[in-house]
Amino acid sequence: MKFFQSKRKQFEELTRPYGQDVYRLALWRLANQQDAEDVVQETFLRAYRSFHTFQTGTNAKAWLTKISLNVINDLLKRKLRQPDTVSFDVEGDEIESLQSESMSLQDPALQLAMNEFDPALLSALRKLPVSLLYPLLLRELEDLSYEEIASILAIPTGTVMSRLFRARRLVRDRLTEHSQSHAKQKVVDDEM
Amino acid sequence: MKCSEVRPLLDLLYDELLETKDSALVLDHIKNCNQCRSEWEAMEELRTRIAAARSNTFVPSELMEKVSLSLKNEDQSKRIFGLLPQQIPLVSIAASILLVAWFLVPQFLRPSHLPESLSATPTSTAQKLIADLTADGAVTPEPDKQKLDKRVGYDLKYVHLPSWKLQQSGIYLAQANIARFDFVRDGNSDQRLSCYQAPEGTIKAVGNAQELAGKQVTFGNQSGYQFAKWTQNGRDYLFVTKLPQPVLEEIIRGA
Repeated sequence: MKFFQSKRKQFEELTRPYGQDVYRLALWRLANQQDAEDVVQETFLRAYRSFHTFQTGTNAKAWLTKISLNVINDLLKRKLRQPDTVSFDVEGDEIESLQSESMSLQDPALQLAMNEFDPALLSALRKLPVSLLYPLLLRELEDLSYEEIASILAIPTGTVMSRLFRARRLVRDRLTEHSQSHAKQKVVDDEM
Repeated sequence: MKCSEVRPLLDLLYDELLETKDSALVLDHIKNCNQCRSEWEAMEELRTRIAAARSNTFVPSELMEKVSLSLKNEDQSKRIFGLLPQQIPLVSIAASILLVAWFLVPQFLRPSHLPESLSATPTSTAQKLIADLTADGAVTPEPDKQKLDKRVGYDLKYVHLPSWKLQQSGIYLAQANIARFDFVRDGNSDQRLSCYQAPEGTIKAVGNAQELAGKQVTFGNQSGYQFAKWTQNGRDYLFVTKLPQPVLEEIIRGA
């Protein structure tokens, strides 16, 4: 019994500081508070079950993030009931991104989340293909290094850099488009 | 620096991956170039917006408590007797199980009643058996002998025998009280024999009795001993005992 308690305590001390990070990543990816909470619970449970594989001294946050991405993908697969559409591949994730967007837009929780955050930003992020979105979220939200992102997504560091740059550019362009259309609409409204 | 040179470096500057000297050059260019400055400002704005949105994301206070609880439940489900009061240490539970098991285990399975190995205190019959078997064959070392000994609980002897010797082995086998012999076909002439002898009553069942269901098993009697022969997975098995044939059949068939 003490063995379990000691192991659990060790695990919690190591991983608990990253609960916020896992939750944030899940919420930004799924835009649904309940789903994000489920992801956190499942991530910690899976991590605990495979705690024996964790190498002391390595990056616990990166380890936990990798597990959480798997949990997120599993959740999306279950929701979409189209397992093949969720992947790190560009072609596949373009479809997935669109599908999950259209699905989530009907979700009141998403509307709430979008209002709480930055609707234009969240909308721009959600239009990104997963292959570009994940490097961006891991870098901007999780403060992970290029090398850590490369390890988590199982892609070369150079690919992380190029995807990150493309992602930022796309988000910037979409934010610019959004602000321009918003400005035009304001002019029309003012004229009326 | 030209704009075409600066643009690819903006992301590196953004991620603070540029050397101080290069950063200064790029920043200097940005100051004097409207287009690149606009690009850089857009990047900074993105960072500001993400940082603001990020700071608005809080994990629900009770969520981590739920996580702790689910980890605790996970541990409880792993315990063999997770429903027992937690105050009872696992050691006490294990000791109680062993104590109960000791009284439940049949007498013949207790260590004090296990047969002694052939090499430690050989009986006259066992001694003769081995001597006879090895007269025309050679005792051979087995790499997995220790493992097999441990598994069957007896000292196994491995003998290489010519086939003609093997044909007559029934006579020698009959001199043992209860013995089990496994024959392995090894080429055309040499055959390997592993054997052990055990006092009567110590062998109650053949390990693979379940697998023998429906297989051809020959029962016979020789010199007052019952025997059973069968072939399984390319090996010949011979089981010899003083027990009456119906009991032997019951043992072999696992009925």
